[in-house]
Amino acid sequence: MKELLEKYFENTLSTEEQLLFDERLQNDKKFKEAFEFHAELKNAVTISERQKIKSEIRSFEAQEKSTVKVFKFRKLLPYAAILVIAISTGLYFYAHQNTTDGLYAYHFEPYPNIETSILRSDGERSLENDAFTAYDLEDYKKASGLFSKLLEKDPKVYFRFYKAMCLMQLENFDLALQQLDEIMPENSEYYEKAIWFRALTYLKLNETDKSKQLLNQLVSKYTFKNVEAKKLLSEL
Amino acid sequence: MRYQSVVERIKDNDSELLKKIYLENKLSFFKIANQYRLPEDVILDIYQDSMVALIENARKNKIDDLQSSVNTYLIGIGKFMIFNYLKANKKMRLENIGSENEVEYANFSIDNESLNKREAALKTAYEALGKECQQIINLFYFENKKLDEIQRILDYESKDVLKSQKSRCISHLKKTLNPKK
Repeated sequence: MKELLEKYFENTLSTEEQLLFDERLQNDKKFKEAFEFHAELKNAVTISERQKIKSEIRSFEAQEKSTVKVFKFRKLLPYAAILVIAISTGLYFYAHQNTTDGLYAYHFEPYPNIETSILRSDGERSLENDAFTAYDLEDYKKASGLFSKLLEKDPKVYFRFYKAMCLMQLENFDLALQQLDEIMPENSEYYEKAIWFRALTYLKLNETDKSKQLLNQLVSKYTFKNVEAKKLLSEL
Repeated sequence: MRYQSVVERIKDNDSELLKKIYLENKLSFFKIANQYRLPEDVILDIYQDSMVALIENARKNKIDDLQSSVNTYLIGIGKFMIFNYLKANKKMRLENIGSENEVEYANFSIDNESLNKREAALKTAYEALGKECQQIINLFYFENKKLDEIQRILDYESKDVLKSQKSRCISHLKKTLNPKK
């Protein structure tokens, strides 16, 4: 009995042993009890060990905090004051400047990565993973290059969309438009997002009419950024 | 000096390295997590749990052939944990991320509440064991090491000696749970 349980937890049961194990687990009450004890012990040990690790990690935080505090109060206070003044002056001027540039800056926010990262080790998956990690870390130059590579192999619509996001961040608006224009209405999930970002790009390029046209389309037919699109239209 | 990979150093519980990894990736992780508008204490907790999962997987020899950098891997775990948190709290509808990794971290618990009564008692008993017993039980049940490996790691003269020591540790645990028997 012990041998069988030991091998089960070592993950070294042979096929026959596995059959025997299953059979005994079903029909032998004592065996089942013993198995449950070991399974519970495993859970208990797992939680205990995780807590030990976590308390060590928490100690890094505590060590860090004490240094950060000193840093914050002694050194940052004068800078904080300057920052507050700078921000309020900036806001004052911003409020009085309703240019297309200002509107673009106000409304543009790169779309968050919702395509997740999948930690697999085979080639393409890890390239995709690297691309989205770079995107998440706001390294848009690197992400843009990686999305291009991915697009060469497989022109998936979401690679194109995030490539366009990178290009917008890098202020490469013509190329961003090229990518966004290729997202077709049948890709409904990304099409409406593409309309919004195309409208913003035209705004940045000072082509207000085109931007308005797209925003009207978005407001009448789609749901994405509906409120923002209406607001933006009223400001144009 | 023998070259040791980052993963090997994590296994050896190299505190300096762990602290470096923890502090280096914290800001990036917070940037990502902030997109989902989670409270700061939740983000910090998820980040620390991700770090625990990283160390646990290293000790279980699960990431010996890691293809990406440890930093990328840690951020990846963190993202799965965020998604699981959002799902569990019904803050996000995410149909297309049902990967195996996500399932793995969906069951990642660290609090006493996840234990039943007997398990909680076993945990207390385990923590009260002597160092030798704790080491054996930790290696076998937490790090999923085979008895042959444990014999090597702890330098037992034979597998049988180790086995009988392990039995003594377990019956000690049982006795603590049922003192009358």
